[in-house]
Amino acid sequence: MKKLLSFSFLVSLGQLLAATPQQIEFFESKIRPILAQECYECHSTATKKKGSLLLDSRAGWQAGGESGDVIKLADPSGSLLVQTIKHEHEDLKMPKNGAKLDDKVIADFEQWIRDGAADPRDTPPSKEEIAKETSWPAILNRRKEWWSFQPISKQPANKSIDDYIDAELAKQGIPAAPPADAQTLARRTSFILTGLPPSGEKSVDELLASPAFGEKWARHFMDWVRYAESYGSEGDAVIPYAYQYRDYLIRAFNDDVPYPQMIKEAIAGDLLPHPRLKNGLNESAIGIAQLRMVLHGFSPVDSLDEMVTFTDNQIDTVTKAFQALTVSCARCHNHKFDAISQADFYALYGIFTSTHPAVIDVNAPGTGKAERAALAKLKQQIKATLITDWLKTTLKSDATEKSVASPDGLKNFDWTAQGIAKTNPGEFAITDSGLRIYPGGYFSDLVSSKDRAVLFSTRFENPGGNLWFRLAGNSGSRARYVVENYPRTGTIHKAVDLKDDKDEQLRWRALDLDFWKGDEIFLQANTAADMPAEFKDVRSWFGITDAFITADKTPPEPPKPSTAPAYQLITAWQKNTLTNAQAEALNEFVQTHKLPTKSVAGLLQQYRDLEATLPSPTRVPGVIEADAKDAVLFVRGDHKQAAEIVPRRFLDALDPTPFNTKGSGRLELAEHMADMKTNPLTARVIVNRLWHHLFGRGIVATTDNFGKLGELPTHPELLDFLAQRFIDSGGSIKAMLKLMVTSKAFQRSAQASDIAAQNDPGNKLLSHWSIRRLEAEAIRDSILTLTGKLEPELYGESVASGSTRRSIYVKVIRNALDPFLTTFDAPVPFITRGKRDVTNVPAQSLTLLNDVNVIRWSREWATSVVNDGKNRANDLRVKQMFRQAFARDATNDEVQQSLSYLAASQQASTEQARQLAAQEEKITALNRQISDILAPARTMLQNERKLPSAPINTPEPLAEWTFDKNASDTHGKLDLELVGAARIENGTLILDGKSMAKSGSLPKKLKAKTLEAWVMLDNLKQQGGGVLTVQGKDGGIFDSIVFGEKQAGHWVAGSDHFNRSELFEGPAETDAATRPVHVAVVYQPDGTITGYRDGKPYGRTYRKAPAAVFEPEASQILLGCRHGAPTGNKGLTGRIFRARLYDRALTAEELARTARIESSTLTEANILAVLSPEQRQQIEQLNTQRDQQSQRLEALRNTSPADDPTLQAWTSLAQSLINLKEFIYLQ
Amino acid sequence: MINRRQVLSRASTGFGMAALAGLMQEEALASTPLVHRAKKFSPKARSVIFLYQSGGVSHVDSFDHKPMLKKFEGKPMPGAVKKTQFNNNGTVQPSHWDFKRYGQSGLEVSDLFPQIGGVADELCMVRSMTAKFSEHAQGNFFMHTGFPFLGFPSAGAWTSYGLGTESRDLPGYVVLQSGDAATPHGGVGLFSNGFLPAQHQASIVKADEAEAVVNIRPRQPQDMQRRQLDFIGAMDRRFVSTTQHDMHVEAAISNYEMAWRMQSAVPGLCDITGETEATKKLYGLDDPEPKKAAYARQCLLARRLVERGVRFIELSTLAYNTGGGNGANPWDHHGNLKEGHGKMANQIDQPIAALIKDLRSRGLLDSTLIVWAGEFGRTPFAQGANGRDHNPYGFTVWLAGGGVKGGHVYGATDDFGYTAIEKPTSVYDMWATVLHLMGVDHEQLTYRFSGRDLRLTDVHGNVLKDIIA
Repeated sequence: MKKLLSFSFLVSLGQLLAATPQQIEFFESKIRPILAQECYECHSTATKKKGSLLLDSRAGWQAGGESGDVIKLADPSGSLLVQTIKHEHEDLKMPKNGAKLDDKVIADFEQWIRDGAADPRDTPPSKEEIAKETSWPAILNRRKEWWSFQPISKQPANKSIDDYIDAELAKQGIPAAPPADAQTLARRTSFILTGLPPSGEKSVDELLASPAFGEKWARHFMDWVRYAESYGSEGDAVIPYAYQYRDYLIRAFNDDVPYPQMIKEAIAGDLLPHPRLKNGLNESAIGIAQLRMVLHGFSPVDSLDEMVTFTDNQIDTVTKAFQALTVSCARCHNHKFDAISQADFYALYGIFTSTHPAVIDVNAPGTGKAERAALAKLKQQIKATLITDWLKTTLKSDATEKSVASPDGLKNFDWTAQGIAKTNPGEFAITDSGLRIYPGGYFSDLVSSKDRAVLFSTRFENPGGNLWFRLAGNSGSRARYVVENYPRTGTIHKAVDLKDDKDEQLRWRALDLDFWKGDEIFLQANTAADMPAEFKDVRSWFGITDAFITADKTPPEPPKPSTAPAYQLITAWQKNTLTNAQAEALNEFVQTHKLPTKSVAGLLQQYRDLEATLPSPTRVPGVIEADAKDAVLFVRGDHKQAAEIVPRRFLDALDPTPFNTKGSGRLELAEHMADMKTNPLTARVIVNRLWHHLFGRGIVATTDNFGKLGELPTHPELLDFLAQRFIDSGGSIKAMLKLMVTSKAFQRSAQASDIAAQNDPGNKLLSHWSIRRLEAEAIRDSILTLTGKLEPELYGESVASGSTRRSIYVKVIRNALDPFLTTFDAPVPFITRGKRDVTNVPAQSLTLLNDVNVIRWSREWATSVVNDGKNRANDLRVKQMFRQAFARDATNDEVQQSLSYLAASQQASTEQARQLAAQEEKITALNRQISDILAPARTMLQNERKLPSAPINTPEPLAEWTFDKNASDTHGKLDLELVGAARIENGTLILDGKSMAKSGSLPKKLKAKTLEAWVMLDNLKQQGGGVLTVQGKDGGIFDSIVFGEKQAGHWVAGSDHFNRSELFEGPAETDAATRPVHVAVVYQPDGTITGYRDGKPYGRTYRKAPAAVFEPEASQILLGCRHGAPTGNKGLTGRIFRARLYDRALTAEELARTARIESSTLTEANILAVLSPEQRQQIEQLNTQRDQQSQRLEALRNTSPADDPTLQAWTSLAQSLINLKEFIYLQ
Repeated sequence: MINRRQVLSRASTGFGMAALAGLMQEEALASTPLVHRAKKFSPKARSVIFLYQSGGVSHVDSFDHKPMLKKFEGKPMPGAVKKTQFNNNGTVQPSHWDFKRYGQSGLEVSDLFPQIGGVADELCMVRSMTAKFSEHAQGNFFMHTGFPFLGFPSAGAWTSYGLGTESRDLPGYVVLQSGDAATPHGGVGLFSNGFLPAQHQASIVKADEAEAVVNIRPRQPQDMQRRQLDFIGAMDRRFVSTTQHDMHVEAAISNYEMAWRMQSAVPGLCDITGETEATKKLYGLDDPEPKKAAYARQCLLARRLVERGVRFIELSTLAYNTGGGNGANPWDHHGNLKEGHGKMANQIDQPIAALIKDLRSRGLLDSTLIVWAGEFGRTPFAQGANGRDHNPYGFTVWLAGGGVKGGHVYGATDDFGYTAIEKPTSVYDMWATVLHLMGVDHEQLTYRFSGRDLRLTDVHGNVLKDIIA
């Protein structure tokens, strides 16, 4: 210790003597700020003394810490301080929990130590002094020096991408790989530009011009803005019309909309002074739909917390997607590493909270103008005609009508209206039955109930009490208070739902506000189709005349009734001088038909006909500008601790000038983010994203983070070169992609030289092509391409995974993401995802091996190969398959191997089919033996019991099958055709699990219906067998009585994708293997479904709307098969004694009667009782045998398709090729 | 010097070799590690069984005895009442069940759980748990991931990431379901790997279905599939050789062998014919109540998964659709709590007690950490006439085995069981403790995503040292 002290003393003395002004200057500018900002927090007298080390004064570091000396003047790089900041020390990596300091800073420290570690700090700083030294402006200034905030460096215009890449390779002595062969390159380019395998020879320009280009690149953009079609959380409410945004992106990429324009549209497309108008749409406005792709909680009790969370998500998304900055990290404190202040977060928070969630109309301005003018004219005509007519008759009468209107009660709030204007008393709407005359207020259907209408008040602090609305409306329009922008409704976010007939009358409605007292709220009324959550895409309307808040719950004083004779009202209407009260009184006359509308019947019809041609709004998710205001900063991010107000502005590091705007500030924010000339991030971020998707790795590998925790660019000058080129092109993505795709770097083969493999194993320098797996969408799309059934149509509502549309159209429902795409790393949509994971998990192999869709698609591909040219040689077919799958010719070896695989597969399938047939034969024989013994006894018993063949008063079915002799319908409409081994014996239809009976076309449309059957099963273990089915002929939609699906041993109302299926939760079946049971399913037109067994309700009734509609001609009946084509779907093993189809929903009483039509109480025990002991024993043995054989058959069937062995073999080959790594990897 | 790629390509000439598969599991394929390599200290537990009670169990009716409720029965709740989900608050409602003291520890458990009471000396009750959300989906996400929305890795995924799996054929994180058990509100995102590598996501195993895992059942006879895999393998071998044995392609190839093994491992796991009748009876597999029997099967499979080295196993209760407790939230009895909770407790009481006893008797309990928890508790006052609303301000979770103190109580709520007042605890503390017991420092188990080093415990969490044995 003594030694150390004296050493330190000597050093410090020597240092003081030697310190030159230059050394002090170096310390003050390069060293002190770093020590203060990065080290004082843990190593200063005023704060903490971690590891017993102080770095806040010369004496501090000279004394060293627990681990000894930290600075050794003689050995700068061996100094502990340097080792820890270089992250060379095993345990100590400084700054703690932070990013490594810049290499430049570390070099400064080394130089400082080398130069003698001059340090003028004699005394440690106080808390106040530390605060000053670590003030945000000081930190900001240093952090702004980070590379990505620097202006884009000037690069020579005559350079190319390859100049930069090759220079770096030359520097490292790494040879470049030769160009890839033409086939490989064609496949590579096609997948990257269009997401599809190559078809024919296409130039880069042709690929860029193909519609598939937009479908590929829109999907990337969707990753950047966390595209989703539902809000997540409980209930997972749908985001209305979200798919419109996906279609917009596809169009934008195909139209090569300049990138700055796309940014502006993403943030403020609805506010642009010169929007893009195309095909009757305001395309620009659709861009803001991304703001609505947030997540929403369910029924939050802390709505402000919820708003902070989803606004944070908006901020996080736009700053990551367009600036690769993590502004969201600064919600609770200044950013830990980057030049982003906490105030930055709240500046943006103020912008985004100055908007309200909404559905907007993006029809181009003037849409429907002519129709509207004509409708207005017609209305005048209607009014004039009515007045003439009414005055003729009412002048004599002095009938009066009470009026109940109150004075204009909307004055208490400032209203913003979209699609709806303040009405004057006497304006009217044309309805289905006549017209409605309105008092003053807001009424949304003055022209049409197609129109959208959104009305909301400014924001205010909720005083509690009762909110009163005077409202009318229908079809799910709503009026409500909105707490902190939370768009859903529920038990504590209440709304007035206008849906019943009585709601069409203006009346008082109340909502209790006490629960949300003190929260910021606003009032809102919407048409049903225009709610940002829980919308209904239907026509609707609403009207509102009053809104106010009372402290107590006393209803508003009833307005004083006033009366006026009819002719006075009519005259006032004519002169447009009606008061509110009079307008309501006049309306009452009309509604009660005291003033008839017969005289305008023709005009009304004209109006309705014309109204039908009025274009509907094109609705998309969006936001509407609210009353704008700056937000307060929340201390440590705690929304219950408000601090100072932060003006709405852009980021500190780029331009902190507060916005001078009356709007939300979105437009100004958009301009800042889109300004590629002054904002150094914008162009760099996007060209890097494009580069990432081409080369598999960005020049900055962390595509979403250009901050300190991100990676540094591998080729910084190239990045700037590309950014400059991009800016010069005005932001053309297609031009940039073309530049990249036509580079030599892109076209290299995947053959890495040994030197490359050795020195650059990550291929950061791009000496060769990095092999990578296709993205999830491309895998699915290329399988579909092979089937020949990939639909080329663009756009539209989203589809299920089994569809033949491209994957970009597959639904993105947050709580039920598509399993196929998710398995192959499609992202969970919650935040910007510029770089997807590329994982290898067994689920991927299992999907490609066992997924039913993949097998179906393989079969379709195989079928087309087999059917293409009947006499083609197999080797030609194999060669074709290789070309289709891999875009190259097969080698001879591959052809030979494939052919022998085919032969072996075919042989195995043949053998399997033989076993199956033999097994079926065995069971058929056993069944016959059993029924030979049982049938006579059953018939005898039935006769003995003299059951009436049809009890009296049973309802008449549409069709009925009794199988007395054959499969004809006793009503003659729907005779059945037996398919497969189905047969009729002893009055029953016998089914073996692979056979069925099917009818011709339904004679009439079916919505409400009842399916009924008496059925006995061979065993109760079978799963998914359909008894009686009505289906669309393609099997796409069906309702069916199904056994053992969803839940083993239970009856269920089967339907396509379980769209109308829920568990009845009835008891498990115990009898159907020993006697026929009666089962029925009743379908009400409103989607209510009830099951019956033996004439009694089976489990619970449930409702799953909408009910299916089966069109005549396009629909048919099946027995013994759940749905679909006869092959590939499980059938029933058992017998059907009788089946009935009704074209209406039977009642419980009716079913109690019909159940007795067929004796279902005759149990096997009854029958066995009348057999001789020998017969009984025989039956027992036969049953045991049959059970064993059935199990064996079941096992066989589970693994054998019904196709012939040849097709099976080709299917297996097709599926094998899909499973090859070459298929899913891009070389 | 030979680089790693070359080592691998040499090692993989017989591709699909277990050695390669092992390497692939552990080694980084991308710039991000597949398995965390933080320093670990010696673990007490090697597996976690998460008995998730979706919907919110009433702690004052089960594990947190509050005699005060009886005194205030029918009276308004004294003191301030915070916002509730349904805003239909009634008067103070005493427990519907009596409490008894059990075992040497004298731990109080209500008559809802007599059998679990019987193993009270194994239980470590945390009676001061709190949550930040009083809504199911957010509460579920919060309990599983530490964040209220989808996108973040579940505790099971973090555990798998932190420790890998000891099983060659089974994933590290398994969620069991049986009968009509449904995924809790929030959906399968609750079991997600979030931003962690996909191998850490949960595999949902349907304990009683022919196809227990999606796509696990081959659609062709075994010999035919083997022939197909061999054909695929031969073709792939040619391809991978043209790619200089690209690591990613190699890994994808080895995956097929893993998939092949899983196809038999999963049915083997679910086939319980080898279990003795006594064992089945112990769990209640023979119970006439089908939902109880179904839950019993999950408990038994949980033990089998522990035996196979699976890291994290989550169980799912089945609903009776009583009083608001439906498929996704079976315990959620906003009405008719007595009937609803009674049925639910009957479903899980015996199977869970059996699981604890069975693990104990097989010497596995000390290395298996059981965590029993829901997303929140329920209010001490009634909702409507006979239900209870959500209460995240104080509720009970319990742990057993795996290095925690048995027969121990940690923390307390106030006299009404409304708010945690003694040693309030958060889900972050719970997972910090679980990770600690598994030998992982929760502050070091990080993954860099989207500009931050993210953790299961976010920026929070303290190991509950007091509950560690």
